[in-house]
Amino acid sequence: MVDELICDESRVWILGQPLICRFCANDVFLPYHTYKNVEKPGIDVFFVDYTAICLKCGCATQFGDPSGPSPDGTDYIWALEQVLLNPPEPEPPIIRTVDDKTLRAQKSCLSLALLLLVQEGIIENAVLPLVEEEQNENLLHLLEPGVYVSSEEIPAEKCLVLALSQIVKHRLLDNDKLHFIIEYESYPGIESFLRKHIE
Amino acid sequence: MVRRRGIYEVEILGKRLCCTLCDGKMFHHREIYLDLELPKKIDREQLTLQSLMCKVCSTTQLVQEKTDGTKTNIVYIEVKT
Ligand SMILES: [Zn+2]
Ligand SMILES: [Zn+2]
Repeated sequence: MVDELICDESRVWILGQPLICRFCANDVFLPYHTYKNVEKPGIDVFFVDYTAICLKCGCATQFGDPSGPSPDGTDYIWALEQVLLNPPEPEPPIIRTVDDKTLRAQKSCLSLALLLLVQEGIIENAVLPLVEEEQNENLLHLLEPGVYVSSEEIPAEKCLVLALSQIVKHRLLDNDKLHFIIEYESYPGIESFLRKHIE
Repeated sequence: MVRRRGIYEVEILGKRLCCTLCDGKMFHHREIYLDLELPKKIDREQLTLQSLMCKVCSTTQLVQEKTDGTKTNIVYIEVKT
């Protein structure tokens, strides 16, 4: 069920009944939203409905949207259903490239965050070299055992996010301040903030 | 757009158009424009349709004109009255 029809070649159902062209019996339409000026309760009151054009013969079928609460009022019935003839292609996966400078900033913040966690006895010493070796997958498992890892490469930023959430969870630092820095200053700010708390 | 002010029999893709209410076969024609955006907007987009109103009972059917080369889906046959 859909709350609004898209203006694209499609088949349409109203309360489960397929929309069929009354002139040529074809069932593929282009449904447009059309506006009508209605006279009550005031001027400039507009009423929107659908004008679906049959793709074969051009005949228009006009209808509204009879969606509404069920008779007993316990449910809401969506009346319109639409199946597009050409569904949109799925979005291509986003490939994020991180420039060298950002990557270095992420790694140095990550090292500092891990150092802080080691210092407070929350994680083992052994994680520290993993940052330089870019063993991000191992790092991820140490930071959050049982975390789901997809087959794609794990960016340092993801490890940083997990390390920072451990810091937040254990209240090692002033959480409000940390959130503020992440929101407004990103890496330079977090780096100096973390560095201040390393003994 | 062609102005038609007479009475017409209409064929769509070679098939005779009949009134959905009284089965009448003679129509008045007007080209109409439906708003696709709020009618207050100055340069709003519109959908152009051919309106065919039954001469007897006034039930109206709307058809979009489609042209394929020199052929169009709607053919008007003027009726001498
Ligand atoms: Zn049709
Ligand atoms: Zn009629």
